[in-house]
Amino acid sequence: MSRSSETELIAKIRTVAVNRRRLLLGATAAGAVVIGGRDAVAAQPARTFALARQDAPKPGGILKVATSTDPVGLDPMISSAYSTALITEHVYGSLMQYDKELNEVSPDLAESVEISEDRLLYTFKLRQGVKWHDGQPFTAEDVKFSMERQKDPATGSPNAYMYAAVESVTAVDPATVEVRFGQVTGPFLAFMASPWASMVPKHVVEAAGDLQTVMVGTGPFKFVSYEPGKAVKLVKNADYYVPGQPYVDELEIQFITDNTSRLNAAITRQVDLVQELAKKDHRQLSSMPGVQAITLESGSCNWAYTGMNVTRPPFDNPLVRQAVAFAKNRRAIADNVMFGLAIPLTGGIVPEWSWAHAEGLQLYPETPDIERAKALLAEAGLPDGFETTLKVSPAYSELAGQAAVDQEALRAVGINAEIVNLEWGTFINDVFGNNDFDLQVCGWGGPFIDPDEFLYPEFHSDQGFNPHLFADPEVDKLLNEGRTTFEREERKAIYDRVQERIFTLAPVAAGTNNVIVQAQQDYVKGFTPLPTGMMRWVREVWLDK
Amino acid sequence: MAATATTLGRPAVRRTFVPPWVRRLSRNKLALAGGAVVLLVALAALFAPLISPHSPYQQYTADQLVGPSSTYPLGTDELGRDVFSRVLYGARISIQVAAISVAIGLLVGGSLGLLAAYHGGAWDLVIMRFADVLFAFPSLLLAIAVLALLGPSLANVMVAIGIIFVPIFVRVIRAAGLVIVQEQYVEASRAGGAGAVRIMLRHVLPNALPPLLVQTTLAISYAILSEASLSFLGLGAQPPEPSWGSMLSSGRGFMTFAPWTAFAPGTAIFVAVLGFNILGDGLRDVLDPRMKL
Amino acid sequence: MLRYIRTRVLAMVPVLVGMSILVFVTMRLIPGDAAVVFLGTKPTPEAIAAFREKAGLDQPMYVQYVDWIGRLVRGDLGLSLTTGTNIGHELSTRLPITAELTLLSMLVAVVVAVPLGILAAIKHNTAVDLGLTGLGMIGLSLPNFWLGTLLAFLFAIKVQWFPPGGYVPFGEDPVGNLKAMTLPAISLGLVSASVIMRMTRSSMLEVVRQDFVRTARAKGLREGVITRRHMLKSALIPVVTVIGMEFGYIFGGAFLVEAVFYLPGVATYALLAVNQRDYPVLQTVVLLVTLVFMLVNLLVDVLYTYLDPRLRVA
Repeated sequence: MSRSSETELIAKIRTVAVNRRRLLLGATAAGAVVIGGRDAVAAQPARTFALARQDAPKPGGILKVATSTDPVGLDPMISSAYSTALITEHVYGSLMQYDKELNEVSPDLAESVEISEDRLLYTFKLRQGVKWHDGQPFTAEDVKFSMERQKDPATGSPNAYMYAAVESVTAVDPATVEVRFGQVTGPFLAFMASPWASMVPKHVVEAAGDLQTVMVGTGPFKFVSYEPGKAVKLVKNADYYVPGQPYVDELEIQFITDNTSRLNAAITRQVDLVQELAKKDHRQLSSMPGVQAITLESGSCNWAYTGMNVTRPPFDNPLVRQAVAFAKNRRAIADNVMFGLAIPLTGGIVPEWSWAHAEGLQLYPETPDIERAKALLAEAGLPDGFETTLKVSPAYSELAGQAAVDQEALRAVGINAEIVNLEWGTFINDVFGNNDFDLQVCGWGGPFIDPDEFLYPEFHSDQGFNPHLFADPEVDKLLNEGRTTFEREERKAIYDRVQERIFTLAPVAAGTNNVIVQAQQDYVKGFTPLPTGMMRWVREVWLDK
Repeated sequence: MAATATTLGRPAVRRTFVPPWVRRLSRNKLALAGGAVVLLVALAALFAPLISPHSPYQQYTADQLVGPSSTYPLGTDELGRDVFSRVLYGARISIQVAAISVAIGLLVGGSLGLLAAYHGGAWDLVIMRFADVLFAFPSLLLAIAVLALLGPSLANVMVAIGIIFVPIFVRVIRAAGLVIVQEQYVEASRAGGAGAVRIMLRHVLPNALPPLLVQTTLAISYAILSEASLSFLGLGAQPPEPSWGSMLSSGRGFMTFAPWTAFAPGTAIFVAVLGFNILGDGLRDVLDPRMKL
Repeated sequence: MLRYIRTRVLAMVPVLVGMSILVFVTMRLIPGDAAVVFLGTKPTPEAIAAFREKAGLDQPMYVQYVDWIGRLVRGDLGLSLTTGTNIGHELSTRLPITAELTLLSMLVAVVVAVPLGILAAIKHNTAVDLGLTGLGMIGLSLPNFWLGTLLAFLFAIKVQWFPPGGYVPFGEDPVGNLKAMTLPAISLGLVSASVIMRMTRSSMLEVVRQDFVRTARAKGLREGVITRRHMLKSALIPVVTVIGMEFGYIFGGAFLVEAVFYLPGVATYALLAVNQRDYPVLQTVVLLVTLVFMLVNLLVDVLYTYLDPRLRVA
């Protein structure tokens, strides 16, 4: 598939999506909201990524997927690792699901949800006839149990915050659950669409204690085995509630740590679908017969930045931080380090594909504005620049490349940054553990969809993933508002404001949003890549061989 | 390397005659050829700032992975840095690491060897067992374990490679020392009150010089190779340092469409190692005909 | 003979003990806490304490050492800190890969080196000898990771005769396995081939000058017979020693060649452990590899003594 046609398609989809969003918001500006209903499931948008659908899917076969990392335990509630979600998303289901553009949520294990006018009572009607993989029926008791288990601090779920404002969960009848809130939680339905909010079987957890080694879900695939360092094997759930799906009989997810090994596995056609390829390998991959590179030009959930410790002089001065942001060479990082597979971030960080993207926000240039940076330094009383250090872990060559580009860019405005190379564990410890750094280069990402997930953890002062020690009451207030506002249009306005505030104060100089590179063999049909890098739609994949 | 040889050579030079092996060396074509290559590498390292057309760190980002041209004699890498300049500066890193690691091996190993030879008894036993233990590890594994402890960096690579050399130099120096210690003039100078260090420097070193010179040359070639290996594995020089090993490691990814990024550093490692190996072989032919390989 | 072996094995014990202590202490000195790597950022103090207790890190060092050795002797290699998987199990899947690589490389080295070394010696001071000596010098100076990169470029990317990397288990696909191992074995074996060839050549030349060869010649035996019957046997004695010594180099080289060809062997495992500060893995791998290395050297010495009866008295 050519990249241009892909871009066009995505552009088209985006327009459609935007129109649909307006309609929906218009209809629900006041009054109760009903999402879904008995007909809604069938009315799912039938868009497929760059793929002519004239061929009828051929069922059968084994789909082999290569990814980089072993799961960190298999319990979807306890682990927040991307590698875990990449597996559990096929085995478990959530109440809601995102569409393929990650724009709207629609019911999944729920059939519909009704939200009261004060947004404090959600009534979920559950899909009928759904069974756990062990044959037990999926009921409202399971939903209540799942929500309460995840909220319970004893479970140790890193995503318990999703239920922070939930006061009670009631199983009204086997097919109805009521969730009552003490405070509005704007992104609650978005949270409910995440693989972190998987519904888990009450009877299995009560028998096994946790789900770290067993997996019993309602999803399209059933768990067969997990061999650490090698593979997880899953088999088709014949009772899955979407008729005929999944198309493949088996799904095998292999763990191949090394980037180039994964590339080789694609080239030598040992696997059908390859995740997380290095950007530098895209060119080689594209020249290989039979293999197709997959990229989403609208970007991903991963972004890279230069972080500054706002408690350490001279970075305690916003003028100096802005100078760094003006000096940063985003174009060189996108072109030279990311091989063109990155989007320079000149305003906010919420990606282009998100409804909350701040289109109009333009704060910094793509190529360095040396004069402006020097002027800011002079204004900050440092006309001759200064010496500092830049911490990075060269364990990831893309980070090392960014550090090298940053060093040169900063030198041009008189900032002499000595690169301190650290092994990955030490880097995490120094930067995220002890906040011991002046400048640091790192990437940040995850299967984030809601703007809250992009901004709150890294820029709210009460969060652990804020290594820059950035604390601004206005930003905190706006982030809280974003979380407790329901209407999307209002939330968008809040996130536009908070992004402008954050990146003007510049605790980080944003670099690029990075495109995810995946590969598939030419006989793999019907795969939908997502900006999250997840493989949620694998159940629609079939093998034309 | 050059510095090490002259320091060690001084006692020999102080004698009034030129040792016969020096004359033989000047007639050995192999040694001369190797010496020439070594000289070339040393000159590249020494005059890198003068010869290189660009800074090894300067990024001409618009010229990403451009092929060899008059502007960039060996092309550019992914950040638009001049590969030729980086290879020249890489020679500096190689030579520096080799010289310091061999010096560490010589200093620590040599001192321990002398101690073992001079004192004998328990000293000898403990030192030699220690050398045996170090010798028992496959050498690259030993270096990797040391780097696991110290963390990856060029300075630590010097230490790690130096440790590999310790047991080798312990053995060479001890063997030479044992021969001398038994000789009568040492007994005489001992009786005359000369200090251990002076006896050793005066008598043992000149005697150990021929095998030491061969070992040192080969050790340098091994050190260059090891530095490149460790940097290749990401345990040595860290980006953006222009080490040959790390350049090769990253250039490998562009082999299909920018082969110069890998060929330039790969060839540089090969030529430098080859030079020292040929020189070492030549030296061995001249100095130690019995050890002919 | 048995007495000799027994003496040698006994002599290994103190070295092994010293080595294991060295490895153990060294690994404990690694900066940074494994708990941080394992538990992620900002672990709670309770979590760290629980982790340390589980990993036995709260015990005094000598208790940990004795515990470690005791379990090693019973065949329990312990658990990886980062993945929680059994090290013994992990090694059992990785050891065959490294063993196959090492043995195939050794095979490449010997098969190439010994005949060429003999040829060079027989054609001493001719163009053939000169050419082979030159080739040997080049082989000796060619870093295996550079050779591997070149071979992969030529024979896996340009001409797709072999895969550019990865491992195929022999049991699943014998042909695929050998295809995948060809380039790595050549990259790793050629350097040793150079060393062994040089040794074979000079050892042959040495033997030529010896009395018994001259006697045989004087007796009028044909050259071929002399080469086969008399010279080879004596000449091979030092060659065997060098082959044994090369084992260590080949294993060291495996670190690079496994990295170049993405083979999931023991070296890759050790390297991963270095990067993740997984010292239970690292210390066990270092100790075991070194033990194998020592045993191979012992084997070589025994073989050497066997081949050269004069040494047996000593």
